[in-house]
Amino acid sequence: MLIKSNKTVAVAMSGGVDSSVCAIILKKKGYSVIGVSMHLVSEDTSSGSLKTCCSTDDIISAKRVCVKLGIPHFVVNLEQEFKTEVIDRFVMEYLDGKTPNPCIVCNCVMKFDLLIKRTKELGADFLATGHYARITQDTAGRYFLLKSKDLSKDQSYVLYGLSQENLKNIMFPVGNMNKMQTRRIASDAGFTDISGKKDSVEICFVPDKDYAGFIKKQSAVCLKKGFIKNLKGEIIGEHGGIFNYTVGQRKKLGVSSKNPLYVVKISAENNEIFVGGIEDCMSDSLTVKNFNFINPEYKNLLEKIKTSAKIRYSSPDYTCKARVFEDGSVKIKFGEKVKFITPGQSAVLYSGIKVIGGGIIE
Amino acid sequence: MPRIYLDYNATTPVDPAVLEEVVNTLKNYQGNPSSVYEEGRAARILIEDSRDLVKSFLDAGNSGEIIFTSSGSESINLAITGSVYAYMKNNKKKVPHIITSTVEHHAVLNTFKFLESIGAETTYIGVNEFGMIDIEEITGAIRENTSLVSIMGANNETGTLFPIKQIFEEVKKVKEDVICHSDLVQVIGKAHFSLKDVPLDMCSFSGHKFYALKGCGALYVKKGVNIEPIIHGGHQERGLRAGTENIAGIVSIAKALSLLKNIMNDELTRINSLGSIFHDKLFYGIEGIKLNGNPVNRLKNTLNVSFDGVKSETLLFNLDLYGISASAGSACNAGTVSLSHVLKAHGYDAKRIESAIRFSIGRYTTEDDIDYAVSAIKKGVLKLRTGS
Repeated sequence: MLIKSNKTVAVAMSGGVDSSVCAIILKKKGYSVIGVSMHLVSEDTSSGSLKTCCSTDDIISAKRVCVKLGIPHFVVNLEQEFKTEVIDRFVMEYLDGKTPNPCIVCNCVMKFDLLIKRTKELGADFLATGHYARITQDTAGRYFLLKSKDLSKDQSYVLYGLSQENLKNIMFPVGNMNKMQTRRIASDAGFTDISGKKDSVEICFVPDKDYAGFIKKQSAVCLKKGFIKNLKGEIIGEHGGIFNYTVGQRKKLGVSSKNPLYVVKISAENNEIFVGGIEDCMSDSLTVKNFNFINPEYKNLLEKIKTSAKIRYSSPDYTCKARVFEDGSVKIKFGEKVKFITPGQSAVLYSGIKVIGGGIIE
Repeated sequence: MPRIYLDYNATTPVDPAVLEEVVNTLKNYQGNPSSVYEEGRAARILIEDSRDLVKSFLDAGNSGEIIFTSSGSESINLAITGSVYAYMKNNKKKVPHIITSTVEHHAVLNTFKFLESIGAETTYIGVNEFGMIDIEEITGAIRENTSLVSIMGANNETGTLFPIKQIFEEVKKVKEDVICHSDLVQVIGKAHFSLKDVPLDMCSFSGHKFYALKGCGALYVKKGVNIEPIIHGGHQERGLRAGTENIAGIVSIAKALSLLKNIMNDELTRINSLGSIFHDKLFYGIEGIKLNGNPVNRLKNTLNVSFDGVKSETLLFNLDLYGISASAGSACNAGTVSLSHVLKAHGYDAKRIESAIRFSIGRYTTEDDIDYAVSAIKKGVLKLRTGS
């Protein structure tokens, strides 16, 4: 399956198995391949626990793969951009009572906007990443984003922000494989050290999953105390800053009750947390502002097709109806009541395995 | 693809004659130089002969003034930290004050930062847009408790030469007992230097900048200058640097310096003229470029140039793909390009700093290399400017 190609592909390399396998496959196919890694966060030697996909260790791993493959490897410094686009936005959203998913911005802005621009300047025709997702094209030349073949690994959720223009220049070489195959390709190519690497699941720039601690470090204003209320509006407790809470949270509320209590709503304006029973966390609809359609023509088809939606990375696909409004927002109505719809997280709309698009939940 | 190496200020390839000597040493001198039997003696004498060669290259007073270390950075750390420790030990009630420039290598600047953290007072002297330092500003900063002034001989990024002779003469006039240290890492091998001309108390240098091995360096400490060790253990290097000596590295330094001594005049003439040709071709061939640092008083092997409208990181990566090795700012071990503190200190605007690249030539650079490099640089710059 050798494609004699004079095309150059830049591979975004995290040092992990998936992106390394991309480089291996593309090199085998005959592309001219350049490895690139992003430098996003300066390592703070005092904390030491930072585990980004772009730590020095991971960059060295990526570099080792490239040197073994005999391809160039470059480290693109996007530290400043990462701070303004991802970290600062993450902190602001949290302070606004939302629960953001920074990986979405990191993928759409850092990788498929900024990094792709940089790799074009290196003469690359395509940017390949190790995402588990697929891109197809119909006879009319339109691109579609699909879930990966191995649905258990599917990462299409974080890619809903892509455009037709983006998809034209992107490759997902492992999207048609399952993790076993990926690992086998790595070990067959002699990369036994990376073939067994664990998947990264954490938000990379927050050490030890401690979001609240991270926000606290970033911003002094967040420590403002406020009330915890029930849904009748009665004060039932106090909180030490709304950033400590997310919708659906059950632990560490500091309020006692017969029945389990959950965070139902966070009001940043009044600095209040509202709690209620599980039944209060159920809702059958949500609204997304600035919905991105991967294929703009789906705007008009939306009400005619069968759709499902995911409301967070690991959520199931909920059957739903969707309607687009003139201001670009989309209202999603589920066939059943859904638990923990969380403002700040993203809702992604699918038609079967096809990604229609998505946006941030209001 | 052939590679054209234009980063001699980062490191140099090992000279074949040095390599031969190193291999010979590794094969034939396996003893510990501190051992009392034959193998030890042989290794000891090899090291001491090397020390003599270094001494005579620098025109030092005696061989005991040369201390072998693992690197330029270690030499600098030992010189600066060692002298501050000695001052603190001998002046229990006083806080040492030390002076340097803002354009030093991180080996100096971060050693200063460390010493600040344990209580030392520091002063950093700035430079103007031509990388020049005001000597009066240095002498004006000297206080009653000033114990050391460290100013580099030549800047690694711009090649700007500092008038260290005048600087240290003036420093000594103001306060005789201030210890004068110079980071000569970029000077040795690239310019003439003799301790007879420059009244230094200490100077540091590194083998791999002049065709010797990486991982070896040396420090000159004038007799009578008191410093404390920073690596403790055995009695090696007059008790100033514990650890069994890197015999092959030490031999490589001595051999490289002996070679240099013989060919220095011719080599410098050739490299300087090649450097000027490189400069002229670059400035004639490409519009919208600026030379950074000092246009006159600089190492002619070094060209630090800003290209209007081009991001240096991207240009560097493109040049690598064309087979050309150059650098920008200082790179960390993972290979990230970060903004140069040296160019910032020159007061240049962000655009100029972000578009700066350093080319540095050396022993094996040819005029053909320069021609190829200039056309590749031109191609890269034009491509990035038009965005196609």
